[in-house]
Amino acid sequence: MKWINLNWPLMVAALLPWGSLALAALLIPRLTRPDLFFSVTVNPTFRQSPAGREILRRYDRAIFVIALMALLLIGFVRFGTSPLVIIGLLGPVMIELAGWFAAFISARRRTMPYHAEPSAQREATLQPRQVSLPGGWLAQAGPFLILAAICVCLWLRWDSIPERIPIHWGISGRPDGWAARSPAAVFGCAGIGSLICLLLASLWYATLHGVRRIHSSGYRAIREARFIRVVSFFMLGVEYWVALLMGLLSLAALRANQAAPLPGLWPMILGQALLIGSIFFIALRAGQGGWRWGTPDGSQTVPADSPPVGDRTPDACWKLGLFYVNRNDPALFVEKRFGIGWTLNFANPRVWLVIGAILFFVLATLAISLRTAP
Amino acid sequence: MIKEETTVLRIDLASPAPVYRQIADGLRALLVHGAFKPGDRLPTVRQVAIDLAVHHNTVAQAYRLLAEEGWLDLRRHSGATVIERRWPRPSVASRENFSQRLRELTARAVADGLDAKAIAQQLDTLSDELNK
Repeated sequence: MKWINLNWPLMVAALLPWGSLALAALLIPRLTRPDLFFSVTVNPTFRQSPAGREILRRYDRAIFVIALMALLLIGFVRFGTSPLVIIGLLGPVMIELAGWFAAFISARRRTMPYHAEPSAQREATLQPRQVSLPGGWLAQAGPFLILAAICVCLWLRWDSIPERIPIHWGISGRPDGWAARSPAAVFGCAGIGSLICLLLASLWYATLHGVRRIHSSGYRAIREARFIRVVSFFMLGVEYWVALLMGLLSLAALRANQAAPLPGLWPMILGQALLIGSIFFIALRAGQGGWRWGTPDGSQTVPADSPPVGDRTPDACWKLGLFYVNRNDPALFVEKRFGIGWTLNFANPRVWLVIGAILFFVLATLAISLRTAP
Repeated sequence: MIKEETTVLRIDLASPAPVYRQIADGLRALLVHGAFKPGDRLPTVRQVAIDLAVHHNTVAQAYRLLAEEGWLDLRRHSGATVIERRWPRPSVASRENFSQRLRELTARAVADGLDAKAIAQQLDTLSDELNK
């Protein structure tokens, strides 16, 4: 019974992204706004038409085939040795991403002839935008306080930290990278955690300030505001999760047996699964911009005779249907046309601030890692 | 406290009227109907431009027009604030211009099939709102 000898954490590490990507690929066309289909503005009823259903059917079929091909590669994981294990871990993800992109482009090309002119009506509320973060500043500071408290704890117990500590762990939970005890090695994990939390918080704060409200009145505006609120809570949850994860890894330096595998590997995998599950749950319940929450009278669809509103962006400015490039649009963040959440307007000069912040984070993480390396 | 429904600005990009004019007209109508009081802050040019998906110079032009008419106080970095406006003494030309435009507007409405009684009722409602 060879299967019993499988490296289960490794298998889960390969199956989790494979399943998540396949499920996301199948769900996303069903979660975008009703008047946006494969990144093309269409009439709200188009996806229920025979042409719309046929395009979706073909796309689904392509995704199924790609997912099956990727699944075959996961079999390499059972060999458990490099480079075969790398093929088993990264191969399925690469195949799925490439196949997903090709299926999307093909479906988009088939949707283009059904393009509909979006409504020329625009609205904006003339009340200054009140940006409120869930839980206020105290809840926002929570992840940083957790990491700071762990750093203080490590500093107070400096003498009980061994001379050689693990700084990297393999998928089995066993340490595979070591460093001499130094401030960079001991506080490195907490530092990286703080940087990730800072990046997430800054990006979210900038998004709240700069995102376009598609509707400013009626139940659609209420749904949009609710969607933003739910995503705000989710982002805060992710920050707490990162802080706890990096905090616990930092505390591993205090363990008596440094070579023993991490006791919390399965909880970590379960935590990741919970995180991915939450994303799917929110996406399924809300849909892009919260449109799936429906109308006050309980109906889920928009009136058939209403012109498409879309997302107030012209189709022509969506390069490959995924990248928004519009010099005349002052928005820095716009709703994703194919996905849940927001993306950048790559023609806005301020986009370089965001890219700069992400680059800073990557370089800072790299610098911390290099300093901790033996 | 400002009611949200009364402060929504709507424009039509398909209209032949320039967008800055539509924004200025819409905002002026809200100001005349008392949606804002002196001291109320309006959203920044950038925020309105983002929500309407128009260039910020277009919104800035509308704000400047209303500032010239005495409705708004524009200050760099602090946005636009509604101010107490001195109502100018109407000139004969402006009275005549108003009568002419009102006549043209009602004629257009009648030509579009609207009932004369309904138009009169609408004008009465408008008059009541203005006198509040």
